Amino acid sequence: MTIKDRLKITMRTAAAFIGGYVIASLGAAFLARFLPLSPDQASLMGAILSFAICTAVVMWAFAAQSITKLWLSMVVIAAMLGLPVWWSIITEGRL
Amino acid sequence: MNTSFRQSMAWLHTWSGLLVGWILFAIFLTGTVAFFNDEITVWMQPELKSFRSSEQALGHAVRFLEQKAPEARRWNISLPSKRGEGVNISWQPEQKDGEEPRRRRGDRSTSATLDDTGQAVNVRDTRGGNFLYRFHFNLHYMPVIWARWVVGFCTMFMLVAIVTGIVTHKKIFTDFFTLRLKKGQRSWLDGHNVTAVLALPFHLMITYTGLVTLMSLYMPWGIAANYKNTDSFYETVFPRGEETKRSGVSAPLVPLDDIVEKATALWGGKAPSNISITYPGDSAATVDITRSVIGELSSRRESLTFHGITGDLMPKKNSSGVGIETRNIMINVHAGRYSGTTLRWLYFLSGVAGTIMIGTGLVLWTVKRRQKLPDPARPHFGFRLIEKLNVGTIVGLPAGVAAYFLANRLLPVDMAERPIAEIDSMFVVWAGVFIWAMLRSTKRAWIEGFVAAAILYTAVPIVNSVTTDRGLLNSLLNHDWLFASFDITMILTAGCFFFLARKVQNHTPLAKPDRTKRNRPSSPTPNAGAAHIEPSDIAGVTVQAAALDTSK
Repeated sequence: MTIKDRLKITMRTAAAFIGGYVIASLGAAFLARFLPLSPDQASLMGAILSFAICTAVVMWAFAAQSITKLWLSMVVIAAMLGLPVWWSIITEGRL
Repeated sequence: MNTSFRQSMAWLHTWSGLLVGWILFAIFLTGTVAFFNDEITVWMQPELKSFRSSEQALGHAVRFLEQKAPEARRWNISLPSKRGEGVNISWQPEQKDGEEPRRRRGDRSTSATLDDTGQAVNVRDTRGGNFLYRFHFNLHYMPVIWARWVVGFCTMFMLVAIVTGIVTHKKIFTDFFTLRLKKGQRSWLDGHNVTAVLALPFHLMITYTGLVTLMSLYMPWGIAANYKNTDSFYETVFPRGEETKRSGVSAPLVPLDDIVEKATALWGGKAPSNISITYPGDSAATVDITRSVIGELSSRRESLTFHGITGDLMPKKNSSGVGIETRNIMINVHAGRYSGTTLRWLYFLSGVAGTIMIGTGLVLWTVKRRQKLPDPARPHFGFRLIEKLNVGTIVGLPAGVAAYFLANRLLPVDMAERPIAEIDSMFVVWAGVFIWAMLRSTKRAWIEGFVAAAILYTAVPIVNSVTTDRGLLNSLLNHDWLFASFDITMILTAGCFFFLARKVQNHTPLAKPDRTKRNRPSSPTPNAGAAHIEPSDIAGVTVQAAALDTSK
């Protein structure tokens, strides 16, 4: 294995670990805020579904062709999930 | 890495499986055993004989507690169910300031087990099956929270390994019916596939629901998004009801049989499993009664609270909704608490399949790579380490579990810190197998390890029949199916290990050209193994091998 290959694997692994947990967490928060359920039930559903999100992100991290695109897309997705959550917490507050 | 989707998934499957495989093996094995944790505890306390009437038992328990702990803050009475035997009672003394509030379960200074006549039985102190159950997610010798993160991390790997394993698998249905024995690597792969595919829904379910059982630790962000303070979330979802205060006026406790009758009627005939009395003897006493979960899919233990003097039902709000129901069902499906004996055995067998799946997966990794090593006779350090870890875990842990059972029978009954000594015996044997594996050649280590495990498992029923009057023969004669099943399971397990030892003993590694010969009998070209893969060989790991070879 060349150094370049090792670096690629490291980048993908990092994307899988960091991206996997961050996107799953933001996904859980997003679902908790926006699922049409009571806040307590939505919080639970968000957490339950987050593990499926995490699995999908990890697989994507190793399946994606371009590592640069992968990282960029992850940032975009995290923002798409995180910003509405942030905005809704700012405007509507938490219990 | 720029390969097709399936190839990259095969790569991910191989490495995510390998990196945490040993811990997963331990989690799966102890979890599988823990489906019978109550039964194991019963076996590990042979002094306890069966009990008859639970109504009588309740009266005995209250009389015992009134004498032993009249001033207690809370009494707890676990009624005998179909699974466990005996009435277990415990009491929580009134806390003084600065005292440690939590007590270890089974602490004999604040708990007792009563026999038919209401006398405390002197049972040997043991953690029983609960130790194996707790090890399944708390591991041992390390802080619980760290252990749970380690377990969760490995479980996430497992989920990825399962899903990528499915993706990798083009011919999942055919492989369901394929087990080619005596074909070297092929057989390992088939063994891995059969145990994986056969119980696939179980593996997916058990892994996902396992994550859900501890999700408030792993994934608190759903709660954090809606609640500033997690306590207010828990108060909404799991309302505890009003906190009562001791009044200081003494009053007689309502007869508990009346409460049981009322609760059973409200539950449509379902039996209670647990009764706890707060401030017994005080006029502010309350009685909490919890429904048995056997036969219930949703794991929330439904409980009712009654006034301790008048016996009136006290109002209580219970939360319900899709989230809590999903969580409860997932947790209960994971633990199989609702299941009867037959379903429990199916759980157990699926768990065994999962354990074998992980074990064969780990071995497959080395079998597949040994032939490709520059010098197969002298593998490099990493390869040797993995081989030793395989022997140490796959043989060492089961041997350790047998030692745990043996220690339960062999250690002096009134020894101090007995439960800890039992647990240490398990780890001593486990570590012993590790050291042995380091000292011996890998093949010898496998054979000797399997034989040692087999001997230990054979010893369990023998030692049981020598040290107690509840040996296999007596159990069969007395229709004591729990004890008989335990001993027979030990014998069968021993048989499996003897069989494995023999298989490894008689095993001659297939030489490299053999693989090629199988594919192309007429033209044994060396180095053509990967190029001549038949369509039927398309299963994850082989695809990856082909990809590696052709990409050069």
